[in-house]
Amino acid sequence: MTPKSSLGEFEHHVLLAALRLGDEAYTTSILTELEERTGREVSAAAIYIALRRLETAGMVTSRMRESSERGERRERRYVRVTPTGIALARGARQRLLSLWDGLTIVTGGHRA
Amino acid sequence: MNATPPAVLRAIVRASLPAEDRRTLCDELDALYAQRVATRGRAAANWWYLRQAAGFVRHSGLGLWGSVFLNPGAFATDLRLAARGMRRRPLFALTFALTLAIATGVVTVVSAAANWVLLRPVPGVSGPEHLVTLRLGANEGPAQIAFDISHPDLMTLRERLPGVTGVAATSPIDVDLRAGEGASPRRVPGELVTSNYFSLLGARFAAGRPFLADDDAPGAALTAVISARLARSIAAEPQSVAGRTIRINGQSVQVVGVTAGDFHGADLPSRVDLWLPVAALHVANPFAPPQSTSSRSTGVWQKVTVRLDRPRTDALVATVAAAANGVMESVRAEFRDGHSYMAMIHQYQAFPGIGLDPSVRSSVRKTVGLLAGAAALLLLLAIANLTNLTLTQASTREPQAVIRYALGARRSHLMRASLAETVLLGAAGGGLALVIAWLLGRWLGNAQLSEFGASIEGMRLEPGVAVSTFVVALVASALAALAPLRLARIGGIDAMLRRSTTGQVSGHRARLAFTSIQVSLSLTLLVTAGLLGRTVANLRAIDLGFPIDRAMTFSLDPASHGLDRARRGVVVANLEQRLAALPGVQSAALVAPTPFGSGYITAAVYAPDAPPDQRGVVGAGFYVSPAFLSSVGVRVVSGDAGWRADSGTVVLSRGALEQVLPGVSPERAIGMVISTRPRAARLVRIAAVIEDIRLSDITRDPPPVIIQPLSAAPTVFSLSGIVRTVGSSMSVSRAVRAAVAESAPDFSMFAERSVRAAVDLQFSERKVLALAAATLGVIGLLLAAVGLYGVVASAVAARYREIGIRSALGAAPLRVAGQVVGLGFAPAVVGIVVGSAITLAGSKVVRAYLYDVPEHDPGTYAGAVLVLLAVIVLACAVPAIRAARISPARVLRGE
Repeated sequence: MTPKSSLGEFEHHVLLAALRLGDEAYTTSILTELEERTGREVSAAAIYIALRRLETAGMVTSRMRESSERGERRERRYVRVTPTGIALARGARQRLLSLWDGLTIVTGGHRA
Repeated sequence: MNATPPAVLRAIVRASLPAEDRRTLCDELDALYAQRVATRGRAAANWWYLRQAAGFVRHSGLGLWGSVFLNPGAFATDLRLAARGMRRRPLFALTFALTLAIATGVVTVVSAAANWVLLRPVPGVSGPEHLVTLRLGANEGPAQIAFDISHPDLMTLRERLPGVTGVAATSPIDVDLRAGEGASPRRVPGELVTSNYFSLLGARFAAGRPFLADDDAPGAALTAVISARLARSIAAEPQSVAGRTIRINGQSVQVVGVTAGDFHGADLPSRVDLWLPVAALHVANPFAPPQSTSSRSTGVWQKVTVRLDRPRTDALVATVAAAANGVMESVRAEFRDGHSYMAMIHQYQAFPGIGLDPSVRSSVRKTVGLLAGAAALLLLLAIANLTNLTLTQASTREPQAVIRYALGARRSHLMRASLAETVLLGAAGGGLALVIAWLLGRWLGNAQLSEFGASIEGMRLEPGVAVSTFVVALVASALAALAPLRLARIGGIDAMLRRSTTGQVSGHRARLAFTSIQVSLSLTLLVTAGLLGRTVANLRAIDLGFPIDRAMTFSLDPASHGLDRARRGVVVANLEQRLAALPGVQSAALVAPTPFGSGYITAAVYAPDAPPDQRGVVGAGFYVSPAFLSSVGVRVVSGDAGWRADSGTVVLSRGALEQVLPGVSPERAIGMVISTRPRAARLVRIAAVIEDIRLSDITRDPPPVIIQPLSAAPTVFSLSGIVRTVGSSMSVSRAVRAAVAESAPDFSMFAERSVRAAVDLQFSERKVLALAAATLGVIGLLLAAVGLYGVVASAVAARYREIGIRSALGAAPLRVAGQVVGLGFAPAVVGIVVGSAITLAGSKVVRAYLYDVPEHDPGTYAGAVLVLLAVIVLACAVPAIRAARISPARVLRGE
């Protein structure tokens, strides 16, 4: 696959949610995180596909790990954002900020 | 926390996930689902889970279907693009659609024929699931022979048979009908029926009424019921025929009813157009004894139809047979003075339902089964071929697909595009198949499948069949598309590049395997066609003992007009004279019974000095008019070659003479006296001895033939004319018809055909089968050739560079061509070996249809293999020549 140089909007969201969750990032925890933060329903399948794509592009790594939850042992695929992923997220943020810079119409300036 | 998502949805999610994440992710979603049930209620949770499942379907391998059903607009675009693509590749599209159409069309026609002959409900009959057919048969011997049941015996059966709501009976009667003054007589297939026949079958009437019990009473006015079809041929307003008087066999009969719609009685094929009540028995058969309906010893009814008080089961049918036989036993005990159960071997046989005559059911089923098997083989062959075609297409278009994938197209989109193509081609093939099925069906509708009338006359393609044609075409093309879909799993650019540099074609091995299957299937079809073709050729080459060409035959039914011996003699003499005087006629004679079919009257001759208890020589008896020997063209061994059928004389075949007067030479036998009755009761003089001839069943050894003057015949039920012509057989048919109309104005002339056609009717079933097998064989051969060509051509295209380099290094063009032919030969040889093994193993299926050719006939097998090899060479020749012509210079320039 060709290395990714930019992120799609949804991939961007997933990556940020994974970063927020840290060691507890897996498909459904990302789903809950995104829903809580964005207030929109998110498809588990879309997250799953996005994570696989990000993994192929080297932005996250994943591994199976067992965890114990309310006495139940559960196996999950946990993801961790790689330095490349962090760098790309940072680049995406920079680009967004530079686009937002000075947009007072939207941010509540003169003619709101 | 125990809430789990709906099982179906969970299964969908599971199916759309890769194996490695299936369990874990499902568990995670289950946990979320349970949470949602707790917080928002089950309905909301279910709705959420449904959307999640849809998301997985859209994104997964099932996404192909998801993207079709969830995004019809995009699929429509794919269809448009596919249509455009087809225009760019017309040869592929045409081959695909035609292959599909031919195979599906043939399968449709065969299934329509099977449906028409075996499965279709008898038209106009209500509640057929309550009906059972009873016949009186021998509990030993062939099932074809049925015996007639007397009228009083039927009445007793009707009174005593338990568990039934009605018992009706029929007997076939063909009559000469004259619809009015000036109308010419015509032969109409009819039935003698009991008065409750129509109500028992639930037949509806367009005009008039069914028979009433009074119509059955002796001495009642003569009445008839006719079909709507017959009424239409008599008057423009069919209803107006009810109440009219028509002439049947020269007697006036009143039409009391016209049946509605397609009702033509309980039998298939539906040919009956006229029904007479038992009171009109003497109209149908003037020679029936006066006490026919009151005597238990005179058979009247051939078939009994019983309506049960509940839907029939196999057990119930057996119970009816047992009950009927119980009634028969009690009749035997009560009426010792004689009844129609002539011998103790007779018993009732019950058959489920009505329709096809029980005696031909199994043979027709076998024929239809054989045809269906061949058609299914053809469909398999076509699917193999289509798979091959799509594989070739997929491999040549792989680079394009890989590029689209690399540019970001989803795999499901690529697959959807491929599916759109399949649907388009399937629909085109289905449409063409309908046209082919319609044409083939029309042709077959006019063919006669067997001598016993199990024809598919009047067959129509019903809407249900047409719809299923379409479905079969779509399914077949979808099946063909399955293999490429699997192979279309794209491994990425590197995998494609790897293949293109090594000259490897994706799915090449699978295509070779399919080619082998095609070759083996077409070998099976070819061998079957060959065996049946040889059978027909053998049957046509049988020496019948007389020249078969340039002769025509026709039939008359003098008995139905009640002609006594003297009047019959006048009609026959007059007719023979008129026929002989016709221009283009060499000689003409009349003979009873009708020759060239499979039946004859048994006759016997006895040596005059034979002891009274000695059995005579039993053979085929024919009663003939004076010019018989010359009209048939029999070879006379000794005696009077110009024998004029003088009374008191007889002509014997060589075989008959050898048996009745052993050791007497044909020359010495002339003038000797033998008897046609036991104890020398009726002495006749041998006038001539002829070579053995086959005037009846041609596949049997010639029986002893005993030819006597027509004047010696007691009652003649079927009389046939034999006209030897100067020109072609049917050249004089119009003049013959006119001569018959003049000599016997009330008589209808029927079964008018060349002698060749009359003889061929005996094996028409095998002819139809041979023709069908040959057609299927040729189509199969073409399909295999196209498939093989595709494989070899694409292999040559893939090895273009390799071949060019080898030519540059000095490989001779002939050697290159040879190697290409070899490419095609390997799968072909495998196919031939496998196909031979399969055919040898399955050949006993056709054994019953073969004549004078063993089912393992080496010649036929060798012939089929040779034809196949020749076609294979031809199919490989084009790509081979192309390979030999590859210019090394051009290839090297491209490097």
